Amino acid sequence: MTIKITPNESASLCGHQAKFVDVDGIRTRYYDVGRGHPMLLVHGGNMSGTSSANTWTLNLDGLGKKFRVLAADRLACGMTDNPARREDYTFRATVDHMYSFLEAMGVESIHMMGQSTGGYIAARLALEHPEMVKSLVVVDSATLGPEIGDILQRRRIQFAASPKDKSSPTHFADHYRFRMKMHSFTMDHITEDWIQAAAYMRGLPKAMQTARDMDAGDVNYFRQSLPKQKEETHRWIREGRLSMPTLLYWARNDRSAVFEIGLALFEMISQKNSDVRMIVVNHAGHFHYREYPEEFNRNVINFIEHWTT
Amino acid sequence: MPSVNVNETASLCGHQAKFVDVDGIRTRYYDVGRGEPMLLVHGGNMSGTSSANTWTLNLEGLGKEFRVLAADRLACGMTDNPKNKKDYTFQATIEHMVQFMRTIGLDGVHMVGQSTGGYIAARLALEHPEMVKTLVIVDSATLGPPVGDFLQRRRILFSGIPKDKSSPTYFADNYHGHMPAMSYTTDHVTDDWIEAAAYMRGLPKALKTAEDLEEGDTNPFRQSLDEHKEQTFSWIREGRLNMPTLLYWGRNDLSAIFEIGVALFEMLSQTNPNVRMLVVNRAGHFHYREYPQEFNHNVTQFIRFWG
Repeated sequence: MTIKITPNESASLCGHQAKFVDVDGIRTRYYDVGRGHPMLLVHGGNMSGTSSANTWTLNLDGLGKKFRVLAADRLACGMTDNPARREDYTFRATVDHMYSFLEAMGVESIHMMGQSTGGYIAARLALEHPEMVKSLVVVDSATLGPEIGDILQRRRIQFAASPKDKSSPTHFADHYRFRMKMHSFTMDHITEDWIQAAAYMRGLPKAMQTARDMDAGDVNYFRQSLPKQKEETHRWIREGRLSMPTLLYWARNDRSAVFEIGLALFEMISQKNSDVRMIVVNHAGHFHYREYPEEFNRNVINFIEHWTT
Repeated sequence: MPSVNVNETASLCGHQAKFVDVDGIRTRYYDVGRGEPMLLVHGGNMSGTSSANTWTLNLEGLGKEFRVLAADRLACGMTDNPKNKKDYTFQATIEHMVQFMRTIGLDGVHMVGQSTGGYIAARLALEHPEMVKTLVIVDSATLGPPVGDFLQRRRILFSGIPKDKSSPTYFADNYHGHMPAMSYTTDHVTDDWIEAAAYMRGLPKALKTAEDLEEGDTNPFRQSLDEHKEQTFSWIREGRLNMPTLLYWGRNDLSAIFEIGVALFEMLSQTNPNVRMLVVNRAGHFHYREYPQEFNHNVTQFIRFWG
């Protein structure tokens, strides 16, 4: 039986209320929870209505006890606007937008955290603005990590049985729910309100436009903008430019951003950065911060408090 | 899908499988080529679909250098079920394979085992080192130390498999769904291979096997492994596996993952100086089918060097 859940019009969850701010003409949706030193959470996923800051909503309260937690929808994601120009469906524009968002929030010093694709964006921001970023947490990021095996093969098989009936009125929800399940080790965190909010955002005119402007899937316009920039990102890391305390926080049972990517990333960063640590959580998948939110919050808070006080 | 005629011994690639009585167990096997004997041990659970047919793209090439034997294991393919229901076990499987070797009169064998068959081959080599000259292990999670969560990986791999058991083509569809998910390139997944597997799966003997065991990854056969494997590992750590051993792995095997091969290498190499590992890129669980000439060449070279 499906209980009909009606997302509120800002797709907000867990009792929080998302807000909107203009960032250089890009209407940007974000959560702003708690008090303390600012912390920015950068979500993952491709540019899509389903990719949004909602992924962090099980963690906002806990982290908000110690930090002022900001979690924004990235450029062309969730309910944040698409770029004005089609040429800006890129990683470059995404990083720039997130930096401008911090400026719009009046933030000068920040703890940075990113998951999956957001881990790359967070790391890139830290590399470009080291004076601003006090600590960095990277969560299950194949986008940031060195290539291990064949991620397209892993994802193709992982999502082979995705619902394909685009004519179904519940397609967006069914598709997203399936993908989240395949990404996870335990499933309780995959709640209907989360799914329905994602489906709602995916169905908005803006998000329909995003999907049209890019080919859907893993090999798309956005992804194509990555390789050249990633070469530079990795070179900077090898040169030692990522020097703030850095935590790699990985799930053992992530079948997409596999554990071995976390290990390889650790090797790369640790050549020059002595303040890099890795935590591996067992029986956990790509969204382990949702699967074990109290443990996640506690470990992140401990890491930051140890290294920055 | 074209209807492929399956001959009544489910033989493929122009080879003709034969039958021999092994202690009352009618056993199907291929016998191809001339030279030193090589025994190929197939993988899979006890099932009509698990059979020596997996090796049929390699028999001719290896048969140029060796006398190649490839038998259906106990309760697999067209080999009989054990007489006693409590013998649906790894130990009974190994004993049957040893008896097969004795029945055919094989000695000084080069063993090659893939997947579950890799465990059986290694265990045979541990129990009868005098009979085994070299050992090749191909993508064996069953032999390797556990890495990550095997059941989770398989659940994900097989999430898209047809489940409609009432369909007349269920056996073929089910096998046809499994094989590409386990592979990197899929040209080797041919209709004749699938149809032969479906044919064997539908025979009364195989239907009985499925009834006696539940299908899937947690069945009595698998359950017989845990204690058995503990002993296998302690023997390996004691240094009892010391013939030249090649671990031959597909980089992109998403079930018996590469990291298992590495962990297995670490374990064997503690006490065996003559262990080597070969990793083939863009290849999955059945890489000997994906790249048969390369596989045959590498295995032959390894044996020629060490044997």
